[in-house]
Amino acid sequence: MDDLLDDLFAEAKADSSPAPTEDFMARVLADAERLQPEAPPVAASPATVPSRGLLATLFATLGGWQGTGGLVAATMASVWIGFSGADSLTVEGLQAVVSGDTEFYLSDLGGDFSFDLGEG
Amino acid sequence: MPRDSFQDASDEALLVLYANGDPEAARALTLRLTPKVMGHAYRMLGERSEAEDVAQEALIRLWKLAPDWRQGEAKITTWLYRVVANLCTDRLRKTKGVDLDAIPEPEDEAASAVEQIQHKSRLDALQAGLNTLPERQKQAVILRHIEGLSNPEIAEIMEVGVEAVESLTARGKRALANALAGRKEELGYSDG
Repeated sequence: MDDLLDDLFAEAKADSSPAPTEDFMARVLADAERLQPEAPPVAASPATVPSRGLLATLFATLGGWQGTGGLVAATMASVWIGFSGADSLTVEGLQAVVSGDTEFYLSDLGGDFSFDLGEG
Repeated sequence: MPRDSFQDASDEALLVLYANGDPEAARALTLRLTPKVMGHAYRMLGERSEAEDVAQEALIRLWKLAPDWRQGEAKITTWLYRVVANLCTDRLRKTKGVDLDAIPEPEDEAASAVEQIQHKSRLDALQAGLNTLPERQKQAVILRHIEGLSNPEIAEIMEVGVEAVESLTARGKRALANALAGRKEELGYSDG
């Protein structure tokens, strides 16, 4: 009797009757698609971390308000120095220095400034 | 329908993809799970349209549960076999099992057709015999001897110990043998 049962089980195992039909598979797939949660938008995950603009990145790189304020002050100071000393940088100003037509000499810079060749 | 494009992915991994909205995962899971679910429902009920209803309902429950599926707790197939068994039990309680005498006798046809009819007749007899078993025995016999699952797998599906599965399958086979004993010759088997 065991042989009979084993044969019947083997036949049942190989039997294709329980295989789902194409129509039934399509119905199941339609259910799966209908009940499937929606995919999150593609841009959603990067958007959760707001990106910095170029200026904001530069501002942070320079050290925030303190760093940027110092840099602005230094820049303004150098602009002022540039304008106020502009006379000596003009062609006339340079000529005046080169031609020696001035009343300033190195020896005028210090009272005790002298060369003593005898010593040494 | 195209073939499963996630052959190396586990059912559980596919379900995560499904819950994340991947349409390919929906297709792959349908292709992979439907034959198993349908096969088990068909063998438990012995009737195609009823089996389709049960299989569809079991899979609908899976689709709905997908976003809340807890990884690592149970295999998806184990859970599905359990759901199918419960749905089949509900249906079987509402209807009577098939009477062995209701199986049509093999008809006298041409030689080639006779074999085919006898094959069909044997399968029908097996199904009718299975339908006479208590539901737990029937489920254990089907899972062990037709679906080809191991005893530990069946134990998990039926939520009992392995020894209980062995006992259920042994008693189920004995009862099935008794149910078919009077039909051996008719089904093409001689004594001995």
